[in-house]
Amino acid sequence: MAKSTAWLLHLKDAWRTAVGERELVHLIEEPTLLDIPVTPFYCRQVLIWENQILPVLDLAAWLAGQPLSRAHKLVGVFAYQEHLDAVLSYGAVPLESVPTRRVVDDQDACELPTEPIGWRQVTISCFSDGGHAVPILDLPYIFSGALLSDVMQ
Amino acid sequence: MAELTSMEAASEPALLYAVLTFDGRKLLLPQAEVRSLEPLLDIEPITAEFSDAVGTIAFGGEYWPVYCLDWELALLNEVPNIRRVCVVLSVGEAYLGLLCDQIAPFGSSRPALQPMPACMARSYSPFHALTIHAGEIACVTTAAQLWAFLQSTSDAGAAYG
Repeated sequence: MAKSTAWLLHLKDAWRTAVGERELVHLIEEPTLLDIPVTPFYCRQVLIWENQILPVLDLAAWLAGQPLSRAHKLVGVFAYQEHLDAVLSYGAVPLESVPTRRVVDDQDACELPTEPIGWRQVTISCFSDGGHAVPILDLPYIFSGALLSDVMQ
Repeated sequence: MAELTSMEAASEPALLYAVLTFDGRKLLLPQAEVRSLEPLLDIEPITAEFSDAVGTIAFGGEYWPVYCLDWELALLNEVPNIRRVCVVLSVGEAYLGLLCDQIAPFGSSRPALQPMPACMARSYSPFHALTIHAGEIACVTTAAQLWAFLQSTSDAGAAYG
């Protein structure tokens, strides 16, 4: 049985998701977030990190299908590759609390939660943690613009 | 997120940029597209042709629309007291006026442009890049992009919200 380590992320209320151990690269408390006009309701802000401008994608707002508060006390900075040979790209997601580490076994795989329905679009798999289904985020998908295309359809 | 490649950078219409400030936020436009700075006193009443503008300005022997936007790029019908200058921009052979609070050159150095993050780049956004200016974010556009956005906004029959 293969085991791997994941970060468990708390998005909002009971919405939890996870990323691979190496995908979470930084946490920023009390981040300075800057609004950009003419942007989708779930991705209206950016932050400056390591002299780069990163999009702040509010996954909870996207899952809720409506704008939520733009005041965030904590964001995670995530690394992803758009394809195997691509250089690392970075994006940020607001979090409710500091992520916790989990060791995940193949036998923990489970079905995706049925609600909210958006989980199916933004996750690659799911595992059970203490009886709760935890979707694993597809970071390249959400930051690539594919999510925007889905919303526009 | 990488900076624009040298090829992309070479396709930029100008090397120097002007920084327009609206409500404390910043917009970068190629300096070559800024044709004139006019006082608000020179703005004349709107015409039926430019009913979504706040007025018209005479430039090059013709009258051109003058727009007033808030930071969300919504068209305003009334000019806030903080607007101080009308920037006349060239769009091909046409012109448009844009009211802003302040305008200044970006400086002699070329800004490090970062493409709009793909996850936030709406198809009708007038911005093609973002940059850091004096520790703040500036949105990078061109007069043609702004004009296309204003036209799409007008076509929608209402200001963008």
